[in-house]
Amino acid sequence: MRFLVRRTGFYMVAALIAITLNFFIPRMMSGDPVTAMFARFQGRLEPRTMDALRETFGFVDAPIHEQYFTYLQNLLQGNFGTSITAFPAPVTEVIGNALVWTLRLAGTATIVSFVGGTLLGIFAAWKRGRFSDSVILPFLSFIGAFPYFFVAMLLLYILAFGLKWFPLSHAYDLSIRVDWGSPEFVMSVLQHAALPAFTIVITGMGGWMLGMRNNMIGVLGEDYIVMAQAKGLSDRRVMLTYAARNAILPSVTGFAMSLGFAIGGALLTEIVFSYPGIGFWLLSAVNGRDYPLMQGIFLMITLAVLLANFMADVIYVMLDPRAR
Amino acid sequence: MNRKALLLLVALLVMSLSLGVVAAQDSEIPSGGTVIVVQAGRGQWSANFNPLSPNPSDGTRQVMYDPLVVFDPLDGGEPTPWLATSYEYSEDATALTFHLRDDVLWSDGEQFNADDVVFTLELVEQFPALDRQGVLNFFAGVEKVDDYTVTVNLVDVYSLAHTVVGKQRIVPEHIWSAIEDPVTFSNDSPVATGAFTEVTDFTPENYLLCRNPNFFLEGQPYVDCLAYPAFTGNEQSNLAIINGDVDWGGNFIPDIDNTFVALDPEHNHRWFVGVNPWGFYVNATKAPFDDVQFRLALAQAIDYGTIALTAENGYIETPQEVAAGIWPQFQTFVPESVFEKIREMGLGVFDVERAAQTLEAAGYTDQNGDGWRDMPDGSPIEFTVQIVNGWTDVVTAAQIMSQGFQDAGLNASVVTPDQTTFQANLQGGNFDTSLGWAIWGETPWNFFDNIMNSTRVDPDTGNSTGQFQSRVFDPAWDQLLQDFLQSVDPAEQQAIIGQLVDAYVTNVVHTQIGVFPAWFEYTTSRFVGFPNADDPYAIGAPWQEETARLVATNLRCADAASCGE
Repeated sequence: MRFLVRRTGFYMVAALIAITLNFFIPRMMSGDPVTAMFARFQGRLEPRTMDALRETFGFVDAPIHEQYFTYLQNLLQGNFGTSITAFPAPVTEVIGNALVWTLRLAGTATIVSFVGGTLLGIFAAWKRGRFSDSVILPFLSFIGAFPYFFVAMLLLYILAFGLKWFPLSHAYDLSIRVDWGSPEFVMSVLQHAALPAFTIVITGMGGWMLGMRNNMIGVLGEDYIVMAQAKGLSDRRVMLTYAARNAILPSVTGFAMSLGFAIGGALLTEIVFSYPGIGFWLLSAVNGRDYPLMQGIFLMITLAVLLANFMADVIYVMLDPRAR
Repeated sequence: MNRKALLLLVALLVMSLSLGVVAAQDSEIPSGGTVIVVQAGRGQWSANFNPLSPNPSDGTRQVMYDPLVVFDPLDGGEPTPWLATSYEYSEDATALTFHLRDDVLWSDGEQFNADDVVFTLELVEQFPALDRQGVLNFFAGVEKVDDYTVTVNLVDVYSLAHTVVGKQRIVPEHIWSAIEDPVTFSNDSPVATGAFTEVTDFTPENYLLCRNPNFFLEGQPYVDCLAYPAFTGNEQSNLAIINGDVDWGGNFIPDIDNTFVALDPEHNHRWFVGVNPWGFYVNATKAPFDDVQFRLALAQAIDYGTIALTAENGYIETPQEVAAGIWPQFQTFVPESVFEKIREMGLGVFDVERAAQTLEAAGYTDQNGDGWRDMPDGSPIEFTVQIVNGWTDVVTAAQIMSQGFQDAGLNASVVTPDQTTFQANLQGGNFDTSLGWAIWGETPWNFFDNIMNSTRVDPDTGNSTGQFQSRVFDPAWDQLLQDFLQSVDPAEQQAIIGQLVDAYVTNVVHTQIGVFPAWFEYTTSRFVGFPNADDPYAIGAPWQEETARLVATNLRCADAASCGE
């Protein structure tokens, strides 16, 4: 229990530092939101209008420390401000709309990728040198070694554009009304999610598989495995409860991290497939110098990663009594 | 002609007009269908149908909220009456009167009249952040003359006031007067006068704008709705256009004749008209760009032809006159002597040897033997050409230019910051040289005012408030620009533009690399009625804020299936 209390204190400090960096880093970039907006208009805004807009967005030249304290104050009140790229929508609304899709796609795909990769890794280590170890593992590692962008574009071009097996873009067929009660709409959502999810799973699985396999091999040499086998336990029992349970510990931390980052959206997936989500908003926010939205998204990612890490700590304690 | 005869004539005219309408309806223009529109890759939608806001959702300023007058840059700014039937300046040109249509209803059925125009202009005055047009540059109040006549008072003579007020989007007083903060108002259920006012099925992915039941053009629009799917970028929307998923597009598609038109030559079309002048800016606050000879040498070292062919896939042409800043529709403004000067100086002609000679003669030689030319005092010259990261066509153009500069013995390289940094650099004077767009206007004045007006630079911060400039200035030019606004005599205006063109050319203030087209591609397999070279009734690009309404109201479905039957 002391361990967890200590960790909680650590996370609080980390969160505070993150919140502060969150404020200062975006402001170090050149240009401000109004310049960015003007840039998008290709110069068709009047100077006077730009000044008035700066005032509207609250970017008058208050000293930076004053701005910082206003920011903290607003944060405590749960007020993230108004987005500028999606002006005049509040940041919470923008994030809320996008988060649903992100969790659905990136969240599910990350879990599938982890579970699949880990199971394959266990299997590959158990049956070393057999099909899963000598064919699937190199193949997945090979795909994982390509830049994600390239794999996604290639699959989009071949499977969606060329063969027309999958839709080209968007999260559902735009000619259907959004209605979660209608099977037609749900089918369409699944259809549209299939290819983007597949790209995330196939590119991520190799890493999980390799990591798990190597951990397993280390564990399989331990005496207690030999003992378990000598006791006459079933192969399955030895593989899963004796070997895998001990080998999975390092992977859990990695998984918690990646789950936290999944909240940040699968940026490249969202761009390649024109799929709604947090990642694309983050990119727009950076390009548009949309400080409020950037702060909102970064804060959410930070908190998600911290929370996921905390969960990992808890799971660790449960899995490994030595950590208690 | 006596009064009765006049009345009779008017009555006859009205009758023949209404007969014309009936005749048009008899020819049975099919109606219905949903046109899929892509203006550009803009990410996901967030509902904002406030036409005065800086970033309204697509269609808001194009087909939902209307201006008084439609100015089409294609006709050299010839006005098409829209909410106003006509306008005129007062005798002393310090007041501008608009006569409004009396048959316009708001989409909720309320009558549109002078009160709405007065309300809108006063709203803009009260909230300068809503001034998209620049009305406040000369606005001195607005008066309602009668229900369908409005007079705008000008601070001083401002000969372009009609183009500015004419483009003002008018909002309904009966709705907007209750809005507390119109700047942050997102106007989710808009009431407007345009052809498409009904927002349907709004999601961050897609929305429909459907027909205004009370639209003032009888029988129009012919199609039911316009659909605006969201795409994260040009690659994604290009793929959709090529795939045939889009009816009306405004994208730059590389090698479009092969990648799009050739797929279905019968239905897939593109029509590119030059509207967007791009050019080369230098920062004349830095040496050696303050030297006109150096600027001239740079202009001579630009390979205009290769840029047009390679970077822009041959979509643009760069005749010598264009490179010198004069577009075909404005050529009448230019004195013959200026054309001679252009030829003499070799502007707009790629000639590296001549550029080298120009540099040699001005004293730029390689003194330290590193292979690059140096300043006459021996200090090395090294500069960058700035362009936005990812804008592939102009990045290629910048690379071709920097190659030309290198061939002339100058140590030039290309840098590609992101768009906001690029913009901040240009406006803050924090660059060596840069590619960039210029402003197209109804007259050549807008172009020269943006590039040559020194009063646009804030003396305190050094920021150019707004547009791009090479920062080659002369108080005499500021005066000429001011004089133009205060002149109501076309001959005098023409003489002023002549002098400005002469100064622009003589001082090589800025070098144009071409007038880029309004990217516009369409497929007629589902809908017809798009403008093209044979029927150039408007610029076709769906993002064009003024003319897209002319196209949208003219589209009609091609067969029973696309009409939604």
